[in-house]
Amino acid sequence: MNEDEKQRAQALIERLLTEAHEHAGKEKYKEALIAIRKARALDSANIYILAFERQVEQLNESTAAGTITDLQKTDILESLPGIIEQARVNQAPLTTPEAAGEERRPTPEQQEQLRAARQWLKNQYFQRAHEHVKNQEYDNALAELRRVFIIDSEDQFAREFELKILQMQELQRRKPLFVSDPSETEPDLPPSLADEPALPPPDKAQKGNRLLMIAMIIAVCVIAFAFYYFWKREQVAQPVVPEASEEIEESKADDEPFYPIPAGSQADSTKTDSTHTP
Amino acid sequence: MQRRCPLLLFLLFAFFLSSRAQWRSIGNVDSYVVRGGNSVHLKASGATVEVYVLSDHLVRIRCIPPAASSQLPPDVSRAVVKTDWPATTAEVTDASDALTLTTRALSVTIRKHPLRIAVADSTGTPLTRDHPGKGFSWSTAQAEPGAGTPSGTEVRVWHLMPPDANYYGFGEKAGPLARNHKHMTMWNSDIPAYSSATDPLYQTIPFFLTVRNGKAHGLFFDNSYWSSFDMGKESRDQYSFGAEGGELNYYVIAGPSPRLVLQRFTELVGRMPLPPRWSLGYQQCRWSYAPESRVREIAQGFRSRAIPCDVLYLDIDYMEGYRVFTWSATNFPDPKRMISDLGAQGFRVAVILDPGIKTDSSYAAFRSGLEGKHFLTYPDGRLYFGDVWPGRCAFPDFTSSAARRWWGDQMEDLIRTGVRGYWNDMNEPSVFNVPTKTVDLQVMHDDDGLRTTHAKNHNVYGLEMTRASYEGALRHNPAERPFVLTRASYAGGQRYSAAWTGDNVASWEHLELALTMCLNLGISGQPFVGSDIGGFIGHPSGELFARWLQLGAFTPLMRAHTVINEKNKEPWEYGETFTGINRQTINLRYTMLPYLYGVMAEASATGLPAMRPLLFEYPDDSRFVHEGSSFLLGSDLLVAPVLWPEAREREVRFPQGAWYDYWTGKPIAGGRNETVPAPLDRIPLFVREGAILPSQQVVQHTGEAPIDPLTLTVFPLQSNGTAVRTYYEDDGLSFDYQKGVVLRRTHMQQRIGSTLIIDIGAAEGSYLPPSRSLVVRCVNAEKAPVSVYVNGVMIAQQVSPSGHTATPEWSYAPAERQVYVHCSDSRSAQRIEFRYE
Repeated sequence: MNEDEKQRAQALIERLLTEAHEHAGKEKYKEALIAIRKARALDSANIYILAFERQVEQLNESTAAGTITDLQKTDILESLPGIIEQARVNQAPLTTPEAAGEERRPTPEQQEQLRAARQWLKNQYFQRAHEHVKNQEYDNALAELRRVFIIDSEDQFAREFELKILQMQELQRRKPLFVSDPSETEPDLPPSLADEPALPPPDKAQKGNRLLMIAMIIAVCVIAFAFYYFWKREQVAQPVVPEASEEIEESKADDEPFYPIPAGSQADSTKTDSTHTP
Repeated sequence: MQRRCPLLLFLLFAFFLSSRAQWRSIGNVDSYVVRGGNSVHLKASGATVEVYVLSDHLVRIRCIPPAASSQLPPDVSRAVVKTDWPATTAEVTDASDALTLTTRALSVTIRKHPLRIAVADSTGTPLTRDHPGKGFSWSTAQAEPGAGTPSGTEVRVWHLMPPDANYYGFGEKAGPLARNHKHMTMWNSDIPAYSSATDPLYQTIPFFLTVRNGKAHGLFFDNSYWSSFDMGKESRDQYSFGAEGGELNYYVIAGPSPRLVLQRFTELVGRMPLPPRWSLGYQQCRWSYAPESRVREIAQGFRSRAIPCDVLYLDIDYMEGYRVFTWSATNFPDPKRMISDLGAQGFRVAVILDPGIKTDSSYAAFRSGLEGKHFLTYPDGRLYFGDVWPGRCAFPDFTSSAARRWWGDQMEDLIRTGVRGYWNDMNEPSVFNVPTKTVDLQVMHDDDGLRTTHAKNHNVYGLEMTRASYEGALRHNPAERPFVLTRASYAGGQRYSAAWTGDNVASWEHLELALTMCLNLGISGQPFVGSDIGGFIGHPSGELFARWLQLGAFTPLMRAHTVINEKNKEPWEYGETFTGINRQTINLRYTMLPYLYGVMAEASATGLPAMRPLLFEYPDDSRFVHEGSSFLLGSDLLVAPVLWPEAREREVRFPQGAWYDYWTGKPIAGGRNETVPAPLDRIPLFVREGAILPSQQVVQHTGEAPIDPLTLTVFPLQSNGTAVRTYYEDDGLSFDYQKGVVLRRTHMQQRIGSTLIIDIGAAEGSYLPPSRSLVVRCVNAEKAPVSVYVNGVMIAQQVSPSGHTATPEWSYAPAERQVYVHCSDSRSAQRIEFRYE
């Protein structure tokens, strides 16, 4: 174990011991035991971690059995600070956090699988969000994006999608009567399942649904394109003078994509800045 | 950068000077007085130096730095027990530049300008020589923060170090046997899962044995402050030792053999009282056997599997909330009955005793300790508290005779309950909630009326705790020899307790460490030693446990132990094959008990280690300088444990003389190295030519049955000559042996051509073992003798080698190449003659 791994392991042990002590203080013995055992996996030769574990086990077992007296509980709780202090002082991690199952660092192959699985999941959320946008259910669409953020808080695509949805939501609030067919601003689809090489194999029904959905989306896009074309022609013929702010919003909505397409989600992956233009 | 260089160099130089300038070396002798023909009192540079010739072979040198010289500190020691040395007159020669005190074995030369001391043997070979440039020195700088000593109290001396000298001992030190080029600290420390590089550890014994050109001498630095030895690490041509406080008080002990050095050193610091015989049986421990049902299950586990065992331990969970001297009502509702039942099965129970007394006003030990003022306090009288297992604790002041008595009185209930073993743990003393891991150094000790700090008493805390435990056990159960086991101690600790090597690890590295640690402890005066078999922390493989058990069978303390929440580590926990091997190993231990008991009796009487490195017996054989993988148990048994995984053979360095393979009886020429088989079920074991090895039948515990038959295995001389051995036995339990209730016999074998004569000496002493048979077994008999005579009468040959008859008879086992003689074990002398022509 190199110095860096050692320091990370020590920091983790420190955190786990503190966490366990806090849990024990709140009588959450099972949670405390989970934390202690994680610490033990990192430093199996630390007798004070073993002692800490035993003390909490005793608390857990005898509390569950209803056999512990207040005095016994106090005795054990009073013994913990010293034991934990020694567990800290005597830290000599023998195992890296990775090897102990904590902060596991996957292999490149595992990393790729993980990335693909995450992307597959995100796509699902994007699709659902998209459905909700189509139905002008912006709250639901935002909820789907929040799920994306749980997986990947840095997802820029989702951030921009969220912004657009918020804008749509705002527009809906301000101009409740202004109803545009969401398909007008239909963005390109999020990456399809087929784009992801290491996805878990979907079952046949799921596959059928997806194809149907893709077909429908393409159809919607074609219809939207047609509507947009005619609407644009009308607008050019009879221009509306909006308020300043609205003008900006509307023009933005016209000139920029509804949300950007993430890299690799298009058939042509090099077209990363493709915009939704008629 | 160029401008900065000179500044940097200057700063480095200044730092160098400041680091060097902290020592002030003693200068010229200002005045001196020779007293009584055997001591000299000198003054130099404000310091006081006293040189005492205590005997022809023992010199004491006491150097007191100027800071303490104005009023000489009391001359007391927790280690030294012999102070009434018969008057020895040395020949004093007073020349202008030097004073010389000469005895039959030593000469002490005190150079006056500057004051430098050299001790030489009677041939003029120097044993110790002050370094000309340094010699005795004391610090002038502020001591290290936290050292607990004021400025100017550090003391140190530098001696010249011959390149061909080797150093052994130093108490409990992990790592190689020879301690050359090591820097070692003496500060009792609780370091679980230590490594070969960890220093210091639990015990402090500031004594070392020097072996040079086959000759040995010893040096004992009696200072209980934080001290250190630098054996040539700082500079290859010098070694030094010193402490952060107190005096530079050391003894130079002449040899020339290591045996004589150890005998003289232990004459000074005391020897191990003969332990109870049951404590030499197998001992099983774990943290923790609880509740009671589990203890009974373990006991039954031994008996049902026919694996011998004498002692079961109860670790900290036997107590109520870790309150020492209490019993957990949940785990052990009726300890007296449990111990009584276990006693009926032949087990003795040992319990852990930790010094920390929980601060709980409803706890009797805390209340009485508080009332009696038996706890450590700060200088202003506030109680000292530290966290250990029970949480906040007060600590008894074992340097107070009243506190020691109080502690012993607390043990009374345990003794009445039937406890017979007192395992003193955590007595470095270990404290959990402070970075120093021990008691604050400014905390005060009574120090038997002297009122001194913990800085002075830290290293003797464990020793004094074992003293309190030993004396308490003796006071409340005077009919039996106490068995005290300790983790921490100081020089002389063998007077009160056995010792083990602390919280080791289940690894092959630790198996090796265990051996060298035990050997160096033995050289440091502590013969009753052992390690936690199988390793305390972690779980060993079946092979590692089996090999460790094989080593344990030949360490005086044979105890297996394991940490909490670890897999079981009893001898039957590794599958049937290993259970069989482990049973065989423990059986071997029990058959060897008569020999081991004799070795322990010798250690008790002479101070010689039970486990002896080969260099101890063969100091002039250079092959043994670093040999720490084999050892002699007593004088006759060469033990070569297997310390490496999957090894099925190992090299053994045989000392000069002839040896026998214990297992096959085949002779082996000594003086060379040989690779010997080491199957998993056998520890390589060899016996010296001329040995008469006593052994007994396998028993499940030492109290199961008296020795019957007593077997004397003769390892015949291979050429004409005579060999003499002593057999020792007593009741194994009481102190009657001190009144002469012993059985001592001198056995002799003579080879005269084709005749081998075994003389069983007449019984000395008044101990009468129950009537029993005697089997004399002679190995390496290529053919049956033509005739066998007992006391001049030719006896009959029997076909069976194992029959017991009223009249003497003999038999020959050709497959084993052994001759057996069966007779009764009378008190009178017997002569057995094997005639081969």
